[in-house]
Amino acid sequence: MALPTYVYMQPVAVLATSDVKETPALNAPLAKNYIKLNSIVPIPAAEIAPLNQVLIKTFSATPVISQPQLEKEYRDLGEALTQMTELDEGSEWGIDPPVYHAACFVAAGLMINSFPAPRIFNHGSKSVVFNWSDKNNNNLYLTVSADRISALVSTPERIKKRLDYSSNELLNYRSLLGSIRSAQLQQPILMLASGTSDPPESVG
Amino acid sequence: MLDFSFGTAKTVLIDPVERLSESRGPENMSDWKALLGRITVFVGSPASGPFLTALDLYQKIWGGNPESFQSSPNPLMPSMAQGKRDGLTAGCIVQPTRIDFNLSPSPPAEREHAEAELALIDDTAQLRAELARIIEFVGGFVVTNSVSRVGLALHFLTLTPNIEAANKALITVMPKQYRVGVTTEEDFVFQVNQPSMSENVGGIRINHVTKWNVDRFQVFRVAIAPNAPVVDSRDIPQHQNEFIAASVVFDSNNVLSATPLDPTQQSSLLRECLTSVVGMQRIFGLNVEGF
Repeated sequence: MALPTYVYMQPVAVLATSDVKETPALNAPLAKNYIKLNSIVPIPAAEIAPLNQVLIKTFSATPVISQPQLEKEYRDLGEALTQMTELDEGSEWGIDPPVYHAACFVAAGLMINSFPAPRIFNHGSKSVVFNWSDKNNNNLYLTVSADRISALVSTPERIKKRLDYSSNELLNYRSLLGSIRSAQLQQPILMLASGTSDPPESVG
Repeated sequence: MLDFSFGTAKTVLIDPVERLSESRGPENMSDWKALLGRITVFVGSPASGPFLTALDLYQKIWGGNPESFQSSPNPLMPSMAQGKRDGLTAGCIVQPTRIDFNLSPSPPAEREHAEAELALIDDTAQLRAELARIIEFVGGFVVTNSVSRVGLALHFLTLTPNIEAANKALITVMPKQYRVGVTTEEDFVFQVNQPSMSENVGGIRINHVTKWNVDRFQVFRVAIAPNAPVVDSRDIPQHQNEFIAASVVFDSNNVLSATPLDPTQQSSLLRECLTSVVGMQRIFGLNVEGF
């Protein structure tokens, strides 16, 4: 089966754990491919290669991306998630169905709240990682597993914040995403609240 | 003065006598018709298995197959099913975070050289019955395993010949304390939310949003004969009409629940929302026939 095409290579893994394994290649060639993140260690800044050639998206407090473009990027993300769940059982790139459903739900929430579309990595079959990076190599990693979500904000030098959520907290996913966004930007964020049940855009 | 309570927490005082006397005029109350009805179930957590498609839900509620169904291989994009239900168009849209059941007018019958028309729901009693049917379905079937919020929205309107008449029609169906002196101003919008606590589901707050506004609808109609060969677009008869309407939109929905709502709670809340809208449209003087 063809591999997903929207999953990018990302030579950094910064998820905290005591289980230290090999570090993914830092100078891997640029390719539309995806990488399995076994390494769960903060990587010293000196070891991090310039990523500008890979990380072209930025994140900002003010959405600057048009809705059609956003929808297209999320459509690609949805296709990548589907491909990852359609891989043969045992494939190192595949993800378990509960992880797939959780990742789709989170991705839909991100899209509705106009988050820029993230890059996606898998992390074994038990979780997927959504990633946003800016031009200064500051990163937000959102690790989604079947029953929990972990947000990690890092600079090239260090992990700045880590937030853990249970899946129950997804009941108010808008608030959850708001707090993650605030942690990422390190400033309060503005979210418009409304008492209506209107969809964010016309669907009918 | 009438003490019109939306629930236990909020009391709204309006003066219906004065309002009704003013509203009896060129804009006859029976001119108010329904444009759309919508019931929404908001999904609060990831599905534990494959989501029901719009086709599944359509068949369970209305039976039979829809006239159109668009599945979505992409998990972030909606699936849609739509079909005729007597004089109504019934539709279902399923997305990861929300499921919408829509009721809208059936398109007018195709007639050659006919003007483009704005279709409205003629049988509003049927609209109400279909809304009740959806509510019953939600209460008796696990649409999804984690629902945090439900909502019901209804759009009523009356067509007017111009902006001034639309403004006037709106003012006459607004409670006295909200009326403003608009005459020829365009794009008038006024919206309030009068939240209350649910009477049937403990600790749940319900938003009762009412919006009065002037709408300008453009209806396009392009007549292409079935099985027509390729034709030059300049040879295709095209009709475009613009309609001005005074609109009143009711949107009742609960504030996000801290714990998932079970199906009985969902239907109970939706029933409260429907009862509230039925009462409010009468109090405000729309008196939509059959609703």
